Amino acid sequence: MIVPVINIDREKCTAPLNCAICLKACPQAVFKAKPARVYKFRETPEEEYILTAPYWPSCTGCQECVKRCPTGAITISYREVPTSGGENGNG
Amino acid sequence: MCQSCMQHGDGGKWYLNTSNYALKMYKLRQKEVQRKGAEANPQTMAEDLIREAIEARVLDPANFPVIKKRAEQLSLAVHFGQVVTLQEVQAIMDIAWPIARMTCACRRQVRGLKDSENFYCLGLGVGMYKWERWPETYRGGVDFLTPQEAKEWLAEMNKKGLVHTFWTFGTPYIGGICNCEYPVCLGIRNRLDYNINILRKGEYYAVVNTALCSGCGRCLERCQFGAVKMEVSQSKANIDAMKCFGCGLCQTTCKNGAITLVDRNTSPAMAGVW
Repeated sequence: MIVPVINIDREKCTAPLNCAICLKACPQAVFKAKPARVYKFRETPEEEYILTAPYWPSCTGCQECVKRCPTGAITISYREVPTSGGENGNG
Repeated sequence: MCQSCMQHGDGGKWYLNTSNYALKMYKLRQKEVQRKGAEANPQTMAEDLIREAIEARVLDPANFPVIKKRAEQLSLAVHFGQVVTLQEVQAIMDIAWPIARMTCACRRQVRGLKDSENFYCLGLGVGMYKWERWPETYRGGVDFLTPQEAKEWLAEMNKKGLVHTFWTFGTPYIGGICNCEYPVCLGIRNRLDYNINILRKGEYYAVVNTALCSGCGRCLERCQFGAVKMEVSQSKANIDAMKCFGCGLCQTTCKNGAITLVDRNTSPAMAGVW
């Protein structure tokens, strides 16, 4: 079974909450921008938000995120994993 | 009757039991969370386990049931949700205090919504008096509402087509209400796409009275769970009770009164389906 591998270059993606382009563009809502840390008495600064792709199994490979990212931080490649006989979510 | 009602219900629906909103419950919950060594937000305590389950579904299907169960059990203990109807969530406004409108963490993280446009949730209970300690959780600040204001606002959310849910913060303490939708609500998302149950169905399921249904189709776009479809050859709405979460959004939009919400416990086949 082929699965997508979503690679996020965090040197390029520095302030995902400010930008939010891939977050809004993805029809499958694959991405999530989370605070690296929650502080007491102050908001987490926007530069301390990290982009992750927790729902990568839902990625269809449409490449909207890749095309729209202003810094080119996202790349999508594919890899082979053993095909299951049993319960299979997105195969 | 579900386990939560049996343990925390005191004879009725557990989320209408005032003790689950009380100061005493909140204090107990805090000690529990600290004992577990997490100063953390209950919302994120189960995050790692849930992520493991999501990946296992595709990469390790043989172990998925075990990991899923662990994620669900942890969620059940610290932070899980249940769908309620508009009437029920409005009834909760008479039990919980204070009530504070706040921004939605799911929408912020999944769609990067700006705080000013992101007031979709309610924080409930005495913990809200300390909101200023956690500006990150309450980004955008909070508006304290009267029960009447909250009920009116919830009716607006219902009109927009959002599903009312409540969430525990250290079960059985009910600390929050959200107005949810797929795919931004991680509760609905995890459930529908990955079969990870951190959002329970409501106490009801929707049934169409075909004699009254005009086939207008207004209800179709209301269902966030994919339970309502148009049965073309009958020209009637068809609701799959097994997919239905009992949110009532279809019912509140029907102009013919053709949809009723039936108590899940009245049918043996539906009673245990959460």
